Amino acid sequence: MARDNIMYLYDSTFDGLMNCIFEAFEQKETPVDISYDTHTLLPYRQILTDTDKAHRVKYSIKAKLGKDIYRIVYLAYLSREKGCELDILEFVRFCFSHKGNASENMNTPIVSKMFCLAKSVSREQHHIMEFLRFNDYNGNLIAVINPEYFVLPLIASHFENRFYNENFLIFDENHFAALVHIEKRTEIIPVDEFIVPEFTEEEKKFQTLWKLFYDTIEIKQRRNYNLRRTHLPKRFWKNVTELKDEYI
Amino acid sequence: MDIYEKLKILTAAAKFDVACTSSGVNRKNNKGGIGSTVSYGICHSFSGDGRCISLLKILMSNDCVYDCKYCINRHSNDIERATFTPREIAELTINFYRRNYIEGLFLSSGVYINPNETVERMIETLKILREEYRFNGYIHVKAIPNAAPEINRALGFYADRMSVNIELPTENSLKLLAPQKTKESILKPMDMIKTGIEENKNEIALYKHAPHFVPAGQSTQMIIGATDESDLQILRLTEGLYKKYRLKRVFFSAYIPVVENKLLPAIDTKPPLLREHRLYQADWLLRYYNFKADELLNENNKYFNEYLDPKSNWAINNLERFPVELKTADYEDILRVPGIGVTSAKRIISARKNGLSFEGLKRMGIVLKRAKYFITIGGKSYPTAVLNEKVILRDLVGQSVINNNSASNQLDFFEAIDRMKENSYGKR
Repeated sequence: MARDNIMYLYDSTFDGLMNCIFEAFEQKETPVDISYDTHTLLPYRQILTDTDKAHRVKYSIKAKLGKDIYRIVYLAYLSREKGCELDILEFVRFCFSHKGNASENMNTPIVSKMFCLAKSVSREQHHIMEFLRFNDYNGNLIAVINPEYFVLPLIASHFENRFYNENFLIFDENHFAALVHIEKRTEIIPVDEFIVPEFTEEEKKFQTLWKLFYDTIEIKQRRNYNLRRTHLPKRFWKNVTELKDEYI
Repeated sequence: MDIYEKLKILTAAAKFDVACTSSGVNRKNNKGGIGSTVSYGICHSFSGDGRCISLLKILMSNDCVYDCKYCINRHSNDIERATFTPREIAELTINFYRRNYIEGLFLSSGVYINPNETVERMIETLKILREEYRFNGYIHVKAIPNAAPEINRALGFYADRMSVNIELPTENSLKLLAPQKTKESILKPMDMIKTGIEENKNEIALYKHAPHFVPAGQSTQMIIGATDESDLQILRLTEGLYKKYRLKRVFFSAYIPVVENKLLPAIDTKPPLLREHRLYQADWLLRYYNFKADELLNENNKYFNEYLDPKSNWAINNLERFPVELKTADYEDILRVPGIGVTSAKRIISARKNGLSFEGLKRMGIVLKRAKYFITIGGKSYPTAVLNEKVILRDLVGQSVINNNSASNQLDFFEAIDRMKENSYGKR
């Protein structure tokens, strides 16, 4: 489809992106870019975020294309990768014009690209569910994470359910946001800066016990650091209790 | 003795147990409690040997009255002994769990005082966790051989998974190395768990709130390389265990010499890690690919090829079944192509309505390194790939191995391959 010489500017929310898709379908046009970055020399059109329109787009993706495709769109959006918005538009267009599930069209470049991106985001979600470490501060739990993608919305329900009776805070230092669960209510808030308090004696005790367990459980005759790094990439180590001292 | 020392001793004593999976059951937290389980399981860390850490894997006690020769905790061994109290275990578990270090607890034990007493203390531990802390995370527990069946059974109502280690693959080896254990003492609790799970299914069908018995099923493990069973014997036993006892998993543990004994491999023997790896590959083929043990090995080939994975090895020995035409073949046949797994096979089936190509396969994330020799698309084979035993062996086994094996520089390439085949671990 021909590119029309205009850029869409939206508010960076998922609903905002849904409105961009609505606009592109309604105007039968393809913008040169979809972005929330106002530093641009291109002529742009501000797309307003209308919840009702967003809902209509979401509903029709789910109803006509299926939940799997909706999930791919959502995960790809959470990647926050530059240019992902335009790819999402192309992907949604492709899916509307070629019925069938995503895997039937996996050999089409845009489908396979979106599939891979969604997979990376979901892999990052699982990494964080695995490697996130809480520290206890007099009964409140705090974790700092450094994920590549914005996965807080994806991990929220898992931790909310698992630690329902606890108060906890998960700070994403790469995306400057925090998942906060206080008195059984959960929300995601923007956070510019977060200073981690000093560990208590009780906390140090359990960190030492855990590190002791971690070092002892290794079978030295089978040592294989490469295999460990494959499963637990080094970029996570600085926030992983048992490995933070080895992170340089 | 303080908690640090106990943890160190009882972790070291448990580390040779392989299973650390937290999979097989989905359970949400209930509002008053802590914890949940997810059916795919979660690994929380990886130790220096690259193995997953999902559960707090400890022994309750290493103060064992038995004297199994291969075991580091055997009664006659001069090592430090320690025993956790039930409360100590529960508190460690909860504190590690709250910090997202673990998915739950894997509790095993040496036989402390006697089998029944051991199990009673384990039950007390799980009771504190499940009833006092209202812990909904994962619990894997070992049934203790020779404990009364009803006591082992009671343990199963607090656990997600239960296992009995088969330890050694034949009765002869057991007699030799684990004199206090018999085939019967191992198979009896296994049978009890299997029957328990089946009865429990009916109870749950009748009463929605009937207590769950071992919802994530049972598993077992055996030691590889301490005794001289062949891969074929081990694989047949594995197949039998899946069929007869409906096990979820059979784990293999490469024997690492920890004690000096003339009945055992020398203390400086390297653990047979590659052999263990081949057995796991074959185990996957049994569970997900509909292979039978006798297809992979037979009386003439009792050991896996050290240089080639079992699936490729099978394919090379059954070349008449290839190439597989991806446009028309059944799922079952596509699944038998080396390099194509369950996900890839399903993707091929659903994508072929819209046309297949080798480029398309790559975009679908299908790796052609092994598969390319064994497939055609619309009658065309992959450029440069030839369905020929010698060519495939040369490409897949690689030059480095051949160099290592050619002692004399005049050795012919294919002779080298034949020699390699003979040099599998079988001929020790």
